[in-house]
Amino acid sequence: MRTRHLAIGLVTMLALLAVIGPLVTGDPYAAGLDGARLSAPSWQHLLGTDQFGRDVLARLGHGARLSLGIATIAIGIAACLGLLLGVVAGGTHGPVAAILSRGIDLALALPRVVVLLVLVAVLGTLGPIGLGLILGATGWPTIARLTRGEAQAIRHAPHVTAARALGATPFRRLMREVLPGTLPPVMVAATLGVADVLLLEAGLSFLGIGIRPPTPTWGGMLLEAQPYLASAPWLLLAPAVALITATAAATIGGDVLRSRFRMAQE
Amino acid sequence: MPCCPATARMASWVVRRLAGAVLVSIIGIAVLVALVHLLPGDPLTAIVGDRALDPASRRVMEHDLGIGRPLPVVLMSFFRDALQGDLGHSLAERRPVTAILADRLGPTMLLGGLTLLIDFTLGVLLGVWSALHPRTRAARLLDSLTLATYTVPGFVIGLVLIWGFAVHWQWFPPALIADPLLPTDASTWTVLIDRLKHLVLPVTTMVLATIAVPLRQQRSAIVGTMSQPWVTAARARGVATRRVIWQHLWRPALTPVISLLGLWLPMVVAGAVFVETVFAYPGIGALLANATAQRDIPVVIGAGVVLVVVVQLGSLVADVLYRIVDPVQREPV
Amino acid sequence: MTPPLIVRDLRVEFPRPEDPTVIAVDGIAFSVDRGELVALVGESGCGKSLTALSLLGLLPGSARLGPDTSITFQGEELAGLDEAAYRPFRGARMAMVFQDPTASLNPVMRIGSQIGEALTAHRSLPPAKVRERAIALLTEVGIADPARRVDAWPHQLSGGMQQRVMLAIALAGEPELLIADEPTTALDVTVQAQILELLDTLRTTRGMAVLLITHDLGIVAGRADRVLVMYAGRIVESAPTRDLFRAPRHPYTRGLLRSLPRLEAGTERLMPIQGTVPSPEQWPSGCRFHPRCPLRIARCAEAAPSLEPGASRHHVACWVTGEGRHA
Repeated sequence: MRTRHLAIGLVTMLALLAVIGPLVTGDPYAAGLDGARLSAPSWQHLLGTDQFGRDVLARLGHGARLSLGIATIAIGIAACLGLLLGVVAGGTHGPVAAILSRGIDLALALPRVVVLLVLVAVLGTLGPIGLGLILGATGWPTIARLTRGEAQAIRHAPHVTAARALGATPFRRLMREVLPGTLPPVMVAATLGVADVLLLEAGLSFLGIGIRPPTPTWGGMLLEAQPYLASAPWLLLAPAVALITATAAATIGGDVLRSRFRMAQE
Repeated sequence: MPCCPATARMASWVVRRLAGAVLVSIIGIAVLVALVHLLPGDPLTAIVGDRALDPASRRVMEHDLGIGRPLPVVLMSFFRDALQGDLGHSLAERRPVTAILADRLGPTMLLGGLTLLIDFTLGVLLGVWSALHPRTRAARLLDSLTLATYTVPGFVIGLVLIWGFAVHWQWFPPALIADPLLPTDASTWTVLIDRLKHLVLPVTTMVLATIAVPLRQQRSAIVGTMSQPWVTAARARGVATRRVIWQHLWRPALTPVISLLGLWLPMVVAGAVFVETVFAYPGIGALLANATAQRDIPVVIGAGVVLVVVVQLGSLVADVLYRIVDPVQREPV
Repeated sequence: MTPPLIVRDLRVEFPRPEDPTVIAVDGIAFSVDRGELVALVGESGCGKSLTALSLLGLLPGSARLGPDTSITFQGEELAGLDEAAYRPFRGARMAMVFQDPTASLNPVMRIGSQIGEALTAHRSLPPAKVRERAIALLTEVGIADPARRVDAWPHQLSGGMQQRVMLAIALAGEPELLIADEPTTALDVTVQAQILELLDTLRTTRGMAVLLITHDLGIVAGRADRVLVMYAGRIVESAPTRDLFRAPRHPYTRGLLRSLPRLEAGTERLMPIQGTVPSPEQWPSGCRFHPRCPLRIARCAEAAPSLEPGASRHHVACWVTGEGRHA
């Protein structure tokens, strides 16, 4: 119960930051006057300013929009691809399923970070949508494996065998019996996957190969904070706390969903 | 003792498993090379820009990037060259990729090896301890701590540690693997101390970012074993508590932790890319990140090859260990 | 001479933070004499396994003994001993055999090592001697080719052989009391008879006392000296085996005997007891058998009858058929 409230609280905070933050805090690109550079948190700048005198809270809010937007695109793609491939690989029988299944195992054998970096190296500078696309394109294998396992279990469940005995076509069985059964675990995995996507996106921006400056992102803000660790620690703490809050919200949210579905089953 | 048939069976299984790992590695690497070839993007122009390039260099670079040739030919020539120890030339550094990788492999193995060692000793010990002392304040604290470090990305942990221990207190150096100003005639002792000081923060960061997985797995395995009748049976025959814990609880709960190695290693690879970069640590991970930023594709592929092979080897080792410690697998009826 | 094991007012409680404490074994008393085979019989859930575990101090962490419980073994009080103080008794003076031999053997230890543990738990022996003793014990419990089997893994043995190994482990410390908790329930019928036969032989050759815990009255006849019948956490009847089978007094015992198939029964139909065993949270007031009892009277629901001492060591706790009916 308490974890659920925590998750709701965290998500609300992030949503406020993403939606309202940029409206009230002004321009994240506007460089301040000379005196306002690297200034500590104050009433004027709640989270202080960076080395160009830009308002950290404003940049944090814009970063939230970008990060959450990218995560939505990525997890949407990963979940759809993973669900489709997993349901066919686990819910049907034959050469297509066998080949897909091998493909899923192979994709799982490739470390996601390596594939991501190869893609970035080849494609060059990416916008938010491009980043969301490649994060989605590398996120499907874990969801596909999960879906495959669930689909295999459901395919042999009594009610599906019963549907078969009643003469339902294979496609109908797949859509009516197998697919709905795999949805709850996939939703859990997708929610937990949001944390991974947020971390990877921040990581890529931190490496300077995600969203490029001056566009504000949490990872980029962490990168820019590095030279000022001693003089302006708020530059590190603000995006770090935001990132941790977001990933914690996704992790706790996934756990809450999982226990919900488990309760519903029992 | 039927040792010989069992050993022979094990050997043939290892050979088959090894062949599988090699096959998966080859296909995986082929996928990486194919991605470079098939995706849009012009890395050559991106790197060279408007500068004039002499025809010989251009030919070498086009060869390394596989420009202007069909995919099967590119793949064939990539693997033929790779078998001869040639992974092409760095576009940025003008050195063979294998030479660069050779420089970087040692530091990464050191960092990864230390992380592995600490994760699977400290993690296992803490996992056993917290399973045996549930509901104590310390166990709950440990639980929250591991959940926290699991959620916080490695590079953020690294930045916080640098801020605290390198910038603020100045106990440890913030970057690199050795002090570049160290005199060349420094004693072995001094060099060793310098090395260790440079390793403390990166290793701590890697351990904090990855230890939750073996720790939690060990704890749940122990908790699961506690209800097994053989534990009660061992106590009933007067076995001492310490031996009950290590022989009857921990030993059977070891197998799930070993099988975890395959899952843990990709996590460490991902961690290494970011953590090595934070600490400017000269390993494969930082190399991969830098090469990506410079779009030095032969180096990116080279580092990718190493990491794919390392992950495959890790899961191979995990499978072999699993078979060794599980008598049901080793000596079937 | 006093009996080696005397149990008085044994209570096993499960305290719960918010709900009332569950009492799974409610003040039972019994004794086991030297070399005697006593059978504790009852349906699953009646508390007989908890009784067995409590004798060796092996209750689960969530359970505790009642404050007035006394377990004396050869004059020494065991109730309230801590883990370290209990250890010298386990395996050495009292040993135990469990219901599921497959799960009671550590799957990643050779059986020889598990017998060895029992041999070295209370004294030091050189490794060669341990192996020699382990092989001798395997021979004693009737395992063929013991010199080879001593190096086997548990999964390489059949269920019956695994239970023989458990018996070898139990014998290793040369105990004076062996507690056998449903030792044959997980085994095939033909193997069951062999294991019981072995248990009986070992008792005679070694002069051990045996507390045999079972749900099956059928395996008790002809083997046990005395039978304790347990229902819902209490002993309802206690009698020498012959008396119990010839003249059962408690309606529950009668029901159990009637539900037992007999060869000579002829036309008599099998009579199952109506209803099911309630769980400890839902035990009824008074005599706990009264909702299922064909002979119940008004008093049965109001007060619990105690186990009154009767003639010729035959005791019964019943308002209708016991000595207490005139009280």
